[in-house]
Amino acid sequence: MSTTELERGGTSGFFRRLYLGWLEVAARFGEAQTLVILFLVYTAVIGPMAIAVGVARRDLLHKRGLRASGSAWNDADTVTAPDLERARRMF
Amino acid sequence: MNVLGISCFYHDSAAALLRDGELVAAAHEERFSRKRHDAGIPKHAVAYCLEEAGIRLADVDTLVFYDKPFVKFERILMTYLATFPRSLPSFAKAMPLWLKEKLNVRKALETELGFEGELLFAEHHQSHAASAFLPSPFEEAAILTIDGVGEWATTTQGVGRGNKFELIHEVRFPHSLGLLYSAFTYYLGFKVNSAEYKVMGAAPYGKPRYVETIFDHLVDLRDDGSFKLNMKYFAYDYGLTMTNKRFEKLFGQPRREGESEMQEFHWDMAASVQKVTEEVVLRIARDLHAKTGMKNLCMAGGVALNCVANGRLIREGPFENLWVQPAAGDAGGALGAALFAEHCVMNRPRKLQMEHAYWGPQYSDEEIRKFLELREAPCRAYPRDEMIRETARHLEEQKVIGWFQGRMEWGPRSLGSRSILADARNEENWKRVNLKIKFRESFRPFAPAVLAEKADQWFEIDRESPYMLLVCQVKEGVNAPAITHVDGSARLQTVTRDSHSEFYDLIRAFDERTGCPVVINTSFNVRGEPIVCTPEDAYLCFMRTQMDVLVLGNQILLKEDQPELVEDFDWRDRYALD
Repeated sequence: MSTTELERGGTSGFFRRLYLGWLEVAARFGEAQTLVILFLVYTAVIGPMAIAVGVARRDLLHKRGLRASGSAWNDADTVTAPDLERARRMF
Repeated sequence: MNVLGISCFYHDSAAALLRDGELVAAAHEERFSRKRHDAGIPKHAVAYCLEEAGIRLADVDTLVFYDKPFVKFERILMTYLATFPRSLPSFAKAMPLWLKEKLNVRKALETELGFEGELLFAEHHQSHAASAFLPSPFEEAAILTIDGVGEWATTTQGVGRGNKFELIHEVRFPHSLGLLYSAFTYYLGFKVNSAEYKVMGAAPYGKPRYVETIFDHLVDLRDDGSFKLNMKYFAYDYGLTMTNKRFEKLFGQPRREGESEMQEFHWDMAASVQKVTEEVVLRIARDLHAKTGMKNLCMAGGVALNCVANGRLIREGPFENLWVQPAAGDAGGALGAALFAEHCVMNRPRKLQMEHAYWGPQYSDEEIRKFLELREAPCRAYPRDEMIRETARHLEEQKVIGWFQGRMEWGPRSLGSRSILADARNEENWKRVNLKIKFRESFRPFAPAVLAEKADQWFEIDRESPYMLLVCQVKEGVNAPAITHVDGSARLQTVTRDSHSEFYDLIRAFDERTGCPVVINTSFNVRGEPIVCTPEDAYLCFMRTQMDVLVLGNQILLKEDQPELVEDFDWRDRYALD
């Protein structure tokens, strides 16, 4: 029995409902699996790096320096003249 | 040489097509997909642009994406590093989207559009800056872009000369004026990246009592206009909300529930963040003027849609001239990206000077007639001038009119192509259009469209405002209560015959009948719905609301003549409230 036949509803209602039910369960299972993997990546990869950043007291988002004197302007990243090679890059 | 610009994946996706440096077409995806602020790949908008140019995708020489995905992804990863472990929910929500399509834009565009040619990438604020300066009337100008966030930059200052520009200074994420405004939008119970203009509309009802609190605790504004936000009060860097408990404690109130009644506190908060925004914009502009010594200023980015701030820039700012890209938000990045590639990368001379915002699809009288025949909708066709006289007569008789003429607008404002019109002298029209036609909050004001040559007789303004991006005061003694906000201001559109002849002639005919060169001009949609695009969209909107008359090209339809609209669903379910 091909998937296409099932999707067309060409088989009995029972098998069609079974198939659609399985799709629903599989989607939920996939979502749960994704969350587990993301949790592992977050804790196992982002976590240690974040701890290292914290230990080194790096201020990645420049949150410090509130009420400091002087300017909060940064030189723009895009000072260099744009060229075709640079424009081709996604970075 | 065909250059196609695209913006998508965040909000307000759009496409814009240049042919030999001239703009052929530009449109928002939401108008076609009928999904407000549609963020998907703008397949429909691209298809429309190609159709308008009479070309195929294979004829596009260069496709330009409006930001640099890897740099944006770097910023997101750095943010997760800096906010570990609180950012887990945000990480879990964002990563699947990034890994699926946002990160590999090249593949997504190949798959969804079938494009396999030259693909270029502009930086987000380069796109904004290009959309502000390159189609402006100025040979040289200072450039200011302010929005929520692009890659890292949230605010940039730049200088444009000839066909080039350079960004010189920037403020970086998480310090963002756009996100500050969005945080207050969220706190006031409105939808972020959608309803910021409601906060602007709510501001005149309140008093700016919390300005000092905001500057003392939330915003560290420096003398040169640069600023930092105190991130202890915000959650947008790590969470799924914009503000946190500390923010609520600071102001002593929980976040307002959407659709609940606005209290004095909420009006005051709106007034306060609006005032803060204006002060920051003014200070940045003064600094930019001091750095560049230029007399012209071009602006883009979502904050450039804050027409109250723009009005103050005109009145108080150091620049003599201001030009704001009509699609100043992310949609305009599509045009900016295309212009950036055309002029800055390929070094071709500037040709485009944007003198109007009508770059979307149009429908001929014949196409409209066929549609109405198919619908079996009773209507009457008039010669052009008679259609205009007849419409003016309906306006004078206090009818509310759906007005559908010519090419659809580029940008978030209806400017006389897809508009709902009514007599501005009648206060009842304000309530009626708000509550029974647009189904939106009663506090929201309506914008006036005025004949350009008579604008200074009715409003405190000394220049044109063709894109409804300037707020000014209504002159004393003027009788236009339906468009006069509670503080005596109005968000003005000046209309010239060159920009839109039918709309101009209609207001003029209304003026000849009544002595009033001003009409209410609001977007042709209901709350939560994108502005109408096709005759069918317009007809359905007309039939679902209490509009009296629909003018589709040269055809006039009266509500009383129409058969009942039978639908097997409730159309309100289709449009989520914003």
